[in-house]
Amino acid sequence: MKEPRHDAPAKTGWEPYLDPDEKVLWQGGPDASVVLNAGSISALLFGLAFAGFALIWMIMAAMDGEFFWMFGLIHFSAGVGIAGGSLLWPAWRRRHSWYTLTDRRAFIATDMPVVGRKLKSYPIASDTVLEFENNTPASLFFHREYRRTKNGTREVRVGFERIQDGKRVYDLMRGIQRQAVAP
Amino acid sequence: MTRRVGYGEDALGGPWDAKLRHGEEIIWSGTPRLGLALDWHKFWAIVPATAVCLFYLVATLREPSRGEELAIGPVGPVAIFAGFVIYLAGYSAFYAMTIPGIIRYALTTERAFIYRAVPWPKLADYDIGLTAPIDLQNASIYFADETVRQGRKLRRRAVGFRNISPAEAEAIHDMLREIQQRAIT
Repeated sequence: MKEPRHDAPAKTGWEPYLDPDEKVLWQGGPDASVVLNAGSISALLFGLAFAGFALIWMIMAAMDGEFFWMFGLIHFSAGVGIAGGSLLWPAWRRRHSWYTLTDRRAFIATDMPVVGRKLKSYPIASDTVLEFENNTPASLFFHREYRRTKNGTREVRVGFERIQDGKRVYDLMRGIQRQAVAP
Repeated sequence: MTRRVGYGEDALGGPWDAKLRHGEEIIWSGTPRLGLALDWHKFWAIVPATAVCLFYLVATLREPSRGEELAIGPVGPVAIFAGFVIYLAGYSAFYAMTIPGIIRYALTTERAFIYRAVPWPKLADYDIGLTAPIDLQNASIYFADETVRQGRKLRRRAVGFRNISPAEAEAIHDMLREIQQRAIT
């Protein structure tokens, strides 16, 4: 497993977006290694089967000598995209992500090729639900949002994924919540 | 609170004036830059359909070789289908465009207004949530989400000021934070 990137946040340049009296408590980056889990494995198998079927169809269509076989390229590319994307996309996204926790907000910054830079901030309130997954590396989720899919939308968890010092960040967030409650 | 007139506007007034609550003030108004933003979900749905249409059109219009029968159907229905696909592509591309003047934005001390003049005038307002995430993306900023019906499906989409320039988006970011902080204290 690659070491999480602790030197990365200095490059993100999000300091101008802090409130005048806002203090940075923690900065870090996620582990960017490729992770195999149930979801990625099933997508990988589905994508390979889809691409394989398209490949067989293309070979059989090409035997007729017409240019019909080229239409299999659409399905073949889709299959390869599903297989490769499910495996590489999450790691690629994490590789271009940086995290910051201040005394009132959590920041997630991304700088993806073509898409460009994005900076999203999530206020941490006393009623913010924290979901801590104490694995190695750990993940800490603090927001849920909806992402668009082919069949409508699905709810996804948002947070600091695969960070090395997860317990410390969790304790810092609990501290922010206690301060928010305190009179 | 900071007040600022954005791109394409002379003053802070606009179609939202009559909707302001007591004590609510406009702190920014502007219009987006001209921009074509592809809706990738629609784009990927349209690509295969367009490819099939083009294939049939080319195959149908192709002169059959000597002794070969034309096996593809008539041009008319295919052309109608192709026209429908192109209409869908054009409509979705137009709807995703940001056009100065046709779309106008305003931010008040409590909420945001988004006005769209076509296909018919529509003014929507969104309260700035105390704990709403603020999403700054290059020249755009998003601060709310809403549920929209598309056919039989319900979709959630992000709401914000699109394509207003990086400097304007950063200024709006600071104003939104002022609104959130003021509401907390």
